Amino acid sequence: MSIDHILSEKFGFRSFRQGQREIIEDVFHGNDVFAMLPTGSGKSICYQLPAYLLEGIVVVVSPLISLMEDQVEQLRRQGEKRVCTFHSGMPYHVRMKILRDLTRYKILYVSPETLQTDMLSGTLSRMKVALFVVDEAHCISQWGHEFRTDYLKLGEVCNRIGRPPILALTATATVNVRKDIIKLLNLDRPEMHIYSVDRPNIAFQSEIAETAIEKMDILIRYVQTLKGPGIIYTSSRMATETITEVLKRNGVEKTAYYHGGMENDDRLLTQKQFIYDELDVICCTNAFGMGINKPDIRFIIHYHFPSNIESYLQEIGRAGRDGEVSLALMLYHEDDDFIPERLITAELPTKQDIDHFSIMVDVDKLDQALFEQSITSLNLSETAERFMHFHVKKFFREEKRDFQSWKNQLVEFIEKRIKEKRERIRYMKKWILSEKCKRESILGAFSEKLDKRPLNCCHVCGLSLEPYESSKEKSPRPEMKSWEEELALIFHQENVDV
Amino acid sequence: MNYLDSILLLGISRMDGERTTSGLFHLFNGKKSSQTVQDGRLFHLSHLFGILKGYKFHDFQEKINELHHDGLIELNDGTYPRLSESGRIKLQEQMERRPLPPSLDGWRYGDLSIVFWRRLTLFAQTLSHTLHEDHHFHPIQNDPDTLQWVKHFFPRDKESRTMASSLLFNELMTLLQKMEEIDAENVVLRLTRSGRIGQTALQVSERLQLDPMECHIRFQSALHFMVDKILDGQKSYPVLYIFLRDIKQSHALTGSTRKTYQLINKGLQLEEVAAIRKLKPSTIEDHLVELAIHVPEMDIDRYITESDQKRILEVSRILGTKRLKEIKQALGEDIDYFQIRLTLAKYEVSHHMEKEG
Repeated sequence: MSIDHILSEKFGFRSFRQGQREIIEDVFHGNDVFAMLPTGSGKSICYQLPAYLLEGIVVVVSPLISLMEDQVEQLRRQGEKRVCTFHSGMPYHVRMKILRDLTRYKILYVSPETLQTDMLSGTLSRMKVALFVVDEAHCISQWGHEFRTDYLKLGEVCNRIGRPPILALTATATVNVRKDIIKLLNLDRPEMHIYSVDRPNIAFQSEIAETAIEKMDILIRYVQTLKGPGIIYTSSRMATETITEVLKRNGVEKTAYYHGGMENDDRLLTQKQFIYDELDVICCTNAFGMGINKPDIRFIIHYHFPSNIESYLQEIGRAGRDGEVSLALMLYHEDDDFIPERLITAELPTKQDIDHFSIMVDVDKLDQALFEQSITSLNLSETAERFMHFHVKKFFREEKRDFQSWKNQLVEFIEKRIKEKRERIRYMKKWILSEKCKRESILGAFSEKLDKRPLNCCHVCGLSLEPYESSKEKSPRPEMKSWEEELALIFHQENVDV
Repeated sequence: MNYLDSILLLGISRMDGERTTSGLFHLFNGKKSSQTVQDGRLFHLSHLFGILKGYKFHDFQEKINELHHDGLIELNDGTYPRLSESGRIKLQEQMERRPLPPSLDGWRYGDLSIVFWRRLTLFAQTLSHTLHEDHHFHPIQNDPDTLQWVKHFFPRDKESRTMASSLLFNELMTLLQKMEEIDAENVVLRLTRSGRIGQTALQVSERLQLDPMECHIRFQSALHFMVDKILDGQKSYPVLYIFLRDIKQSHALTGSTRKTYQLINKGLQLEEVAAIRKLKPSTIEDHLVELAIHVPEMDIDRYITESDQKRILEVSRILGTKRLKEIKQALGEDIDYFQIRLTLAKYEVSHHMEKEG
């Protein structure tokens, strides 16, 4: 079967989109491939299609459990049953069953953490792995250094399972991040497929507010008039709840919040309500979005700005996947400046933390258990704690252990990371406040030039908001029927007398 | 004063300064340790076991501090909360105005109702969509066990689906009609069908104009009620019974405790069990306390003489406390904490049964 044939047979498409064919062909030739395709351009086909033709299993490393499950769910809906996930949230006996039957699967989705377990990597090392895919590969560079440190070991694991060809996929990676990924994954002279990050159907708009109150007013005005559905990104759980309240009070009734602190059931319900257009607006932290496959999102509003431009691009990239015009709106007030700064410092231990740590541990005895215990009593954030565990483990693997030099290196490393992160925040902020074309400068961050300026580019180039506005009033929440009628509808008993 | 506050006050009033804030937290949070399970029995709080599952200790602590700040509770030794006089009045007032729903039984039905609900929502959704010939819907649950279960039990052809749908409808109708209107709504609004996704906890509480915590507790209680009725009258609810059949046993003992029980029954000593199971003797002690609570025929005379048991109960009664430390101090060196816990556990249960029987 040819790849065109499979494309129409299995995926229901008549032709490839930009880049897909070239990437798939390189994958077939057994090359390592680095591919950067804009968000919403069908990256997953680049490994899902080869899975039908290659001998052996395709292992896909994915950063989030929800993301993996969405992919599996989608493939199953397309009729492909030989796919599965393998992660720590699954019951032991289910995992064992998957391991036993692993050769029957074509695609296996795993988190970098579970891939480290001997149970899984051992089984994989005894079978044929056709392709090793790292999805959302920018996470390696973005998260790998501190809180998803297992990302840094992917190269090692890949060797252990027979070093199949590697495909690294991302939508957003600056030149530096690309270099970082290639180095960390140990890619061997990879074929580079870099496509423009530009999304011509998304227009950029910014508003700089004088006061915090004004900012909220601007938000309300926009949300009331913009065509939905849309997403509002904020920096904290608390903010998602407050803004949702305010919007509901101001006539945008079909608004809900979404953040990582919610009950799983409610998170799923909110997601599905959004997908099925029962909500106009989701107000969320960055926990929402990855894996949400909704093609007709019409606006993305940033009530707080993210800590780097790649995250920003990822987040606005969720708009307009159907190709229709969409709006990316940035709201800024100078009080927002401290938020990303606070986030990055909480992600890593401080120099003081390291000092406390070195007082607690016994430098002469170097007992690993004691080291690990002392981390817990530092009261670090979850990410900072993971960072410490990783570096302690690394220290104890060294042949010659010199605590003082380890400590100095660690402090140096943290300072370097924070400096880098600050630099990225600074860049993000510069972009927000700049008077130059928003599109050109965002492309500039990825070392790209703008080829063709869309009619509605950004507020600097001149932007008419009309195409993004809705003439209709926001609809109220639908009335509920009596519970008896509802129950009858659920179980198709409408015609039965109740 | 919101509903959460009254729940906290109720817990504090029952523990009455004999347990720390974290002891209360573990109970509300549903920690499956012998100590917590035992506390539930001891202080008659089992129905609230796990009712605040997922709640963060930090937030809990903050709530306690607020109550303290408002003068509703005192904190003995800084960490043993106890109602103040105004707290006592407040609690009484609250419980008269908005009493706890009587069906609430977190310890017995908490876990069971979670699994039951997951299965029911997914099963109902799948029925609703497939009967509308929609096979590409987004499932409302993502827990692999639940997906697996529904996949296994879901009827294969249209005829049996129609049949299942009508049976389930009738069974649920019967059950829900036994409840207050508002509770039936609380359940049905959360179900998903073709054309309408279920409502979140917050959305339901807004619709029903209930305090979110009251809405949550009433929902839990409604589920416990359903589970109770289904298990009680399997013949009246043959389809719903299938949703519980394979899990109904698993709540009483934690898995590890069950293994310990098997070994104890073979006549092994505590230390031997610990050695075989490669566990600390103190862990086995925890199991034995758990067994004393849940297994009426469990004999504790092997671990403490009858006369010592009497002494412990006597001291507890005279001192008016269930606090281990105080009892131990009064009894001296020859009785250890384990023996006290074991006796209190055993006694509380038989005391309970006498009352009920």
